[in-house]
Amino acid sequence: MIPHPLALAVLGCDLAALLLLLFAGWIAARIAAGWQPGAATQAQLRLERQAEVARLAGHAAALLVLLGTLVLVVLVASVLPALVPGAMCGTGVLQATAGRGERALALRLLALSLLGAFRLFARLDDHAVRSPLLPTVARLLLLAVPVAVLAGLDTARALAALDVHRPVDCCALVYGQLRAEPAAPASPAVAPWVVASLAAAGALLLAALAVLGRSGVRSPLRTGLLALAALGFAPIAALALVRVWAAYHYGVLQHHCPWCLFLGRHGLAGYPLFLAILLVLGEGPAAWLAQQVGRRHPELAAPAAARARRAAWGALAGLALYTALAFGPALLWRWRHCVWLHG
Amino acid sequence: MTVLECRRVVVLRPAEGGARAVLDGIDLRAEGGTVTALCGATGAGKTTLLHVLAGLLRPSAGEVLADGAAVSRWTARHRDRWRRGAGILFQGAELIDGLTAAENVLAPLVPRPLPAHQKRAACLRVLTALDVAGLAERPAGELSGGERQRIALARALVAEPGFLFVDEPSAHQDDAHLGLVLGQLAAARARGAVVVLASHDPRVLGGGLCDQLVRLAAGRRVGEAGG
Repeated sequence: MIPHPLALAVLGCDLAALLLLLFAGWIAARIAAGWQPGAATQAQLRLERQAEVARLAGHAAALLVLLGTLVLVVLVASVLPALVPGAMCGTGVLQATAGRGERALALRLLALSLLGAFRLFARLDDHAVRSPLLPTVARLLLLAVPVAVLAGLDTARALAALDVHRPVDCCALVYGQLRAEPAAPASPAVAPWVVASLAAAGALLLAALAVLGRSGVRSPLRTGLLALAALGFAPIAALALVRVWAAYHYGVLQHHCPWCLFLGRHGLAGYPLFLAILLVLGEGPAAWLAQQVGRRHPELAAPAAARARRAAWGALAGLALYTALAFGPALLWRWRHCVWLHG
Repeated sequence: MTVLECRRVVVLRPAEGGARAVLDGIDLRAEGGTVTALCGATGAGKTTLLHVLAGLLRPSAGEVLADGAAVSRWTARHRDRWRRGAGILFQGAELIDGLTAAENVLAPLVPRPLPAHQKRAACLRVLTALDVAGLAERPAGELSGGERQRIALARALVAEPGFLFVDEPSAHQDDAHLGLVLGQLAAARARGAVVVLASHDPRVLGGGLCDQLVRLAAGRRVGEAGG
């Protein structure tokens, strides 16, 4: 393992987050097992006091996992390529972790999703005087703890397994994948991704506008459609970005590498682009979850509606950012060169 | 009508060989427009009960209800908001010594959406009523014990709270100034506030102010008498 300060920062964030999560998880387990809101017994009141502390610990842990993930991405995308022989971007760095890096990132994304849901419910619950969502919040925390532990362990293993002596060939990996794909017709080969990404963006736009329309935030159908549109948009947008739109940043065809987008010579475009996709992925389902909370708990209807509205605006903001940074360079290229790069 | 109740309130403190009950199963009901006095020997639990009722201390068991809502079990954010409607006079005044007397009194009005001139008028009114208007610009750290206590009471009263909790209102007060203090408590009662005070001073308990007398001994309620 390289004792790079950023690697140590990631491990430090993870360790602090895990300690907080284990503490919060222990209290969450007791809440899940014996929460009696009607009783004013010593055990229940102690649990109520501990629940407030556990909630704070959960929020702090979620922020630490997020911070650790951001630092890890910077480390993989921008720092380690210079240290791993043959690595020109994050693809080569992940190659040098013998596959553990990808799993760590995937588990971190899952942990962040669960912690994001925990934060959504916990913050809505804060609006009520008697914490009606607390058992749900506790169960979400209990789900997040093992995933966060696995993500932390995998991150540590990936960093430990990082081999900075054996050369890697990240371009061989990218083009190897390309060669493994079935041959496609030359000109319209990428058109399906263009159509799919434009259709997904259009569906997301319509769904978000429907939620922002009159009584949309209280409609399970409209918020549900926004959640589905966001869940559909995210993978399509990510794949279309790598397959089609990234070419306009690289200026070359057939370089299907997501990590090169994070390089300085491509304007660090990967950071805002993937942030936009993650924003849509997080906020779309958040609108539906908030609407469900408002429907089941009338005392939380107003804050839930406000959160659903904010989620719809968040999804729109993500879409706008993606549109500007993914489609924008393509339009600019077309205007300057009078031809599309993808055919 | 405003009502404050506590039901089976227990407060435990760590002690050698386990926990010690500072309050043990206290039941109490105080209605708006009345003064309830907590009395008893030193260490009986008067101040602890007052702090529990005021939302400063969470009971180990049992609950405090304000107008039927179990405020003692609310999360800190909501309990703090409820406490904005409560005025508290601490046994030790607890003024901010670096501020002037007037600034201390104005402190509870800072988060309220009132014009500045109304805040100043409210401050001056209560300072005058307690005969400390002349001390308004003096730093709180330079005041005597009795003056500090009256400034602290002015701070508790300035927002015209619906719940008023007063710990030892007669501390450091001569008879003349005590009359002013009790007059302000009577005025709070007259406008419908729930007034709960803790005292063992016969000048307070026997002055005809108290509508309900709650006697405490070793953390338990041992008796009651009309005021």
